[in-house]
Amino acid sequence: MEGSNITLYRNDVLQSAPAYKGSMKLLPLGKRTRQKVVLGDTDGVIQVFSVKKKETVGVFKSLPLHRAITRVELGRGSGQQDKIFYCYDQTVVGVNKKGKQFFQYSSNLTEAIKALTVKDLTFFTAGDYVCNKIENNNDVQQYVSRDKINEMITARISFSGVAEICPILVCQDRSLKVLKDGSVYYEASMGTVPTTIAEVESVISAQGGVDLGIGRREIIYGTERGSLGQLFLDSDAIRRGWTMSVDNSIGGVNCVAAKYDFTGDGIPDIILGKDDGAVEIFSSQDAQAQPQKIYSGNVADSVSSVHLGYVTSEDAQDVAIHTFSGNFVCLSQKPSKVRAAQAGADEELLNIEEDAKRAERTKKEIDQLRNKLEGLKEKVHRNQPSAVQSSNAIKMNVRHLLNHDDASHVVRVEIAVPVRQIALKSDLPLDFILDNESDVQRRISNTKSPSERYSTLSVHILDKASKRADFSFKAMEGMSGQVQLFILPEESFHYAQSHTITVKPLCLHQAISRGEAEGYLVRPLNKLSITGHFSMQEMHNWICFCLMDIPTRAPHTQQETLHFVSTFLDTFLLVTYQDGEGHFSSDSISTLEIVRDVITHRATLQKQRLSISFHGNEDSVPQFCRLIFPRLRGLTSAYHQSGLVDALKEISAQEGSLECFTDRQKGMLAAVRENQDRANEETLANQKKNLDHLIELVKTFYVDWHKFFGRGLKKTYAQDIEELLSRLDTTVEELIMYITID
Amino acid sequence: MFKSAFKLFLSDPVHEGQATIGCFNGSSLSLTCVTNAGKVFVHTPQATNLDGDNQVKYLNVNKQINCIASGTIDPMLRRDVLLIGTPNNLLAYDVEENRDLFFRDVPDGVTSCLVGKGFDAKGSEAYWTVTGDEVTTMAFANFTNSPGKELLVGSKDNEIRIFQNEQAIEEILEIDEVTRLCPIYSSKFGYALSNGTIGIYSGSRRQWRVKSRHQPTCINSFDLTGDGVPELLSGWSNGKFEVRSEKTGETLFKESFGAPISSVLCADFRGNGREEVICITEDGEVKGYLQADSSIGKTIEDSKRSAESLSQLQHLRTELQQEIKLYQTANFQAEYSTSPNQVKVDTTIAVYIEKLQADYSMRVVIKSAKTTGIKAVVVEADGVLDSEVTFHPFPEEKDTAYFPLNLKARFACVISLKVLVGFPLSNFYHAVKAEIPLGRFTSFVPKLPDSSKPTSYVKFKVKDTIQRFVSWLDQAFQTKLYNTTNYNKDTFEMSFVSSINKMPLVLTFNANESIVVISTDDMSLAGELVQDLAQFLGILELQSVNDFPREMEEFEAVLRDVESYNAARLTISADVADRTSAIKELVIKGEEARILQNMGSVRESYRQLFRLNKEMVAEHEKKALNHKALVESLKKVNSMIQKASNLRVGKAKSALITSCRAAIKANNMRTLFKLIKQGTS
Repeated sequence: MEGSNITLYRNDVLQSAPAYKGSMKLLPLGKRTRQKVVLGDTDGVIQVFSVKKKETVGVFKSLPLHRAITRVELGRGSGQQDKIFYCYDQTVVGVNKKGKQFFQYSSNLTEAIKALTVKDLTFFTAGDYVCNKIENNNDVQQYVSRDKINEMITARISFSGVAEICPILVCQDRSLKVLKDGSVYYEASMGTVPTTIAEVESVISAQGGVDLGIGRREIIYGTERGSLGQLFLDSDAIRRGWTMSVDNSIGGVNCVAAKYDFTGDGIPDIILGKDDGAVEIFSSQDAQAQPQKIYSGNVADSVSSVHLGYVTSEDAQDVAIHTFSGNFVCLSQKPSKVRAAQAGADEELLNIEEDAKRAERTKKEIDQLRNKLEGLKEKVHRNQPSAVQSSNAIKMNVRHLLNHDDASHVVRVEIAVPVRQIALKSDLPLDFILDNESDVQRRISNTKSPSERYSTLSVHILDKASKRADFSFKAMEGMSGQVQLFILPEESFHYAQSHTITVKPLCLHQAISRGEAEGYLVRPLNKLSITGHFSMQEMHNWICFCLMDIPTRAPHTQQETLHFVSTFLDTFLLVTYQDGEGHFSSDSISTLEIVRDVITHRATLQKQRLSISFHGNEDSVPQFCRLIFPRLRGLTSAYHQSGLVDALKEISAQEGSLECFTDRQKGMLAAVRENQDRANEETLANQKKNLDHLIELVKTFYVDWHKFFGRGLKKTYAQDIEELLSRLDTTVEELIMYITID
Repeated sequence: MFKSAFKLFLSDPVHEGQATIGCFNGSSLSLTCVTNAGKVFVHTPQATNLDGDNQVKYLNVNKQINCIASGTIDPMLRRDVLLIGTPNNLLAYDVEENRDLFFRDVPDGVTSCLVGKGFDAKGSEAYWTVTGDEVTTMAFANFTNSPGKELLVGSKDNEIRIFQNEQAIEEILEIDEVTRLCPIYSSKFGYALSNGTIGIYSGSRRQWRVKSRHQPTCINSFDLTGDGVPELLSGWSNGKFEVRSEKTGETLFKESFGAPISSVLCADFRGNGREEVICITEDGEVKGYLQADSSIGKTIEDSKRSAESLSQLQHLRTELQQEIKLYQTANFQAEYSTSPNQVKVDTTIAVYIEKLQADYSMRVVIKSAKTTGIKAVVVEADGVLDSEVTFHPFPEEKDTAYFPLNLKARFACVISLKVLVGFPLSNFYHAVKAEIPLGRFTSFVPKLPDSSKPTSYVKFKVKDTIQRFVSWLDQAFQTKLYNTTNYNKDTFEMSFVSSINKMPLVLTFNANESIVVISTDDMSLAGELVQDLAQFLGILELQSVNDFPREMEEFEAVLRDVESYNAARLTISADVADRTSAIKELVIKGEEARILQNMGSVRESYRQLFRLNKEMVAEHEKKALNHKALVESLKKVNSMIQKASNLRVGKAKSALITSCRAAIKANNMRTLFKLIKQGTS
């Protein structure tokens, strides 16, 4: 594996059952010079082992609990650092490094514990929504979060000189919360959904000139879009450090470790693992500068834990990785090479021979395993007619998120067994995007639905069986529906599983924080007000039917304000609601139309009566047109150009020179030459599609605008708009004129 | 694994599949590629020209080039000749001497050329035969393992035909247009289809195939691993170059280029005695690969590689271990399921095809045990359905489910189904596999006998019993008539309707006169049935008479069209010649007037010139249209001959083709008609 600067060598050590996030830890260095590894998996097996000469030496391995181990932690108190704590369901168990159980605690919660920290006799646990503090087996503090908790850590934060251990939560509603005494002390909102956090331990204030207050903690967070950020927690405020945007990777950050020094320069480096299998190391010169990526590699499976330690050798630290599919991998710095350089070529040859022998042995083992596998497959096949409905189904993760760049939906599937086909049905027309970059190629085979019942029926065929599959598709706003995935593992499993994703009518809208919304509030906005005898929770539910990124429970406040931005057109939507009232403001009338449609439909189902009033803002038309027009213009001219390019190329080949062309034509040719011919052809069809989509949006806007004012439409509006927009010399003013004047 | 030998960049783009290597000057090899605007360039790295650095020569063909090939046509010449196929002629060109060896009109257009036989050194026709549709690719291979090579021909009607001399000895029906063929060794050959499939046939049996989203642009074979067995090399439209094992189809090596691969060739291009594989991309990148050598000393590079491979092995091992574990748990659950909350599911299913006589359609019926519901089915059937894999969800989750089976071609294959069954409302299913074998004539639905019969028929003598005839019917149409038929009658009749195009088909067998009559309006279907019956009954020679009034009428029209198109072509050519001379005159006139400063006359001349030019453009358009129609009609003529020949078996079949060709050349339409109907003149 080649990194930017460093080369690391992959070393597959052990295979466990599939594993959840954070279920691998490295025990601290003991008497020996190598660190032992603790693994927990979804079968409920906890095991400790060390690695000697590339073979594993087990210390202990528990019997399967048949419950998934959701987290493995080491104690933080003094003398507790080699104690292992793990949790499953509602239970926390403590064992020592020999595997002897010394502690067990079962909480009376209904939800499973997903995150855990232990210091002495104080525990912090977090489930999907609840965060608890447990002292001496008593539940002393509890906090219920509105939205799903993605990760919890604890850090010492000093409040007016008194340091206290506080839980820090990152939640699905894109917030980071610091809790004190069971309630939110302060919180920060973030641009994207944070999935994991880590504290940068050992922040040394001795850094020359760097102003780091005592008790200030440095936190690194990773998001579902793969970006990283830095935050400083003070006793009274959160300060933002650097943020690092995504560089063309689609993977979300699954885990991050920030306490290890990989480069050996005294400053902790950041190691992160992503759900597309990427492992990256970042290093910085000082704590406040944005770190640089020094290594990136890929282990092919979704990474669930990553640490640094002396696992395979005592000379250099390895990056230890545990993947979702249960693979424990070390990326080592290959100390044998260092040794060889000193000992000379003989040693080198010896190494090769050793490797060859080992390879031979492994090959034999593989053959044996293959035979065994064939036998088992046969057996399973025989048992097929009376197979058992599996209660612990094959572990699978499905994530659904929005891609900002091209306003598409991304669905990521990761599963513990290799998959070859994914069938998909949906009542929405979906437009799949195929990317050529990924290492596993996909083909799509569509089925026409005989009864027109489904708009999309398709099967995605992967070129080779893979444990990961990414889809992206585009869906129009305004329609809601469900996408059901049927995951079909390789044939011999005789098993399949489905997963349903809901696509909301305003699926391209994304929630933003109040701070980010400042700039949008000054825009001319149309206002839709809905009043009636409904409760706040009802209104909240209705809004849930329209938009993504909303927690299922209504807030406990009197009134709630939400801000959304369309990732496609950058239009804005402001929602405020309370008991009996809901107000929606947007610069796009089409958005309001969709909101009105959905809410009236839902209210009718519940036999609720609503009164709706609308206040239009004439200035919002130019605003909308100015947002959409530059895109339209760009696409139209690009579309016109690409038609010419082929002819120009032919002429240039015939003439042998470019002398006969105008400068513009030359420019066009040069541009095409830069990005391949093939790309050009592909985009031609795409451009047409995008263009049609935009024109369709303008038409809808025209219809909605007049509908809200109760005016009649011009009969020929569809042709008129198409005609207007296909001309290259149309100005934005003409478009505005056409829409506003009837 | 494979050593990259050299890399160079050509300045011109290379068209897909249009590159060849030949020894044009008798000593060194040249790479010849077709580039834009009807040009061919010849790149000779070892050229010892007087010009010094001029390694590249351009040839202007000024026509659309369909294919190029090189080879020794004239053994006296001792060097290779370049063959260029264009939409209406074939040119043999001697690069060294810069002269045309021959230039022949081929009105149908040359789509694929290969050096071997066909046209001899003087350009006269030595070989002629027909296939069902436009030929896309050809290759020579030792198909029968007997001395002498056979010609493999891939055509647009999805067939690979193997010709031994003039007789088609084997026809292999594939599922899509055959784009490339290449010999591997002995009777093995590789093929590529336009739907992204590549694979290998050993004789007429397919050994393996793989499918991708991209199109294969070229295939070739070469022993890159150095193990004495050639591998299948393939170049793809996404710029991927792959080496696959000939035995299993396992990928041994792959590399990605920035542009689609245009050609993969094998030659000793650098002249150092070692053959190389040469990969050419469409933007002109050329890369050579050498055969892997086992004698390379152990280096640090190697140790790195062995470490890599070791870790790969380790990875494989862990994966296998994991898989075994999964199976073990599955097995454990199946055998020792004692826990009360686990219920055994009866996952037996029954799958069959139901033929509906009401509207002559077919559907697949799936039945499961009463306790479980059928949730969905994934159907894999390459070639006979609209898409490769279809998906039918059944939201009702009942124990019986149907989906319509709309076949689009007569093609024998196996439909494999993955039926998802499970308890209602659960998200976990059992995937139960089932297969339905489809015969070539499964798509015919039996019809209740009535008096109506298609007017067209083919009639031939078969000396056999009704029992044998019925057992052929059962086997071909998947009917169950054998035990229900009354064998005491002299004649046996059975009616079908095709579920594809709803056309009727009546088969009659008169045992007394031993005459079989196949009544259908579809001539190619009749041909297929004749061939199938002959094969089943072991008939080697079969002559037949037929009457297809509609098809013959159409054919007559086609022949008339060909004649008129040919006539139009001649008049247009004459017109063009006239106008060209007029244009020349006008140009000179105008120029003269300009020198004499007679501006009025200059203007007049150029006005006329402009008008003539416009006329010429219009004329050209007409000519192009005419040519297109002509090619289209000629294709129909050829396919008619092919269909007619298919109604016969053995010598009668190949004799028909030759005599038809002779009749066309002699322009004797009456003989041609008689030939098609009667088989002899």
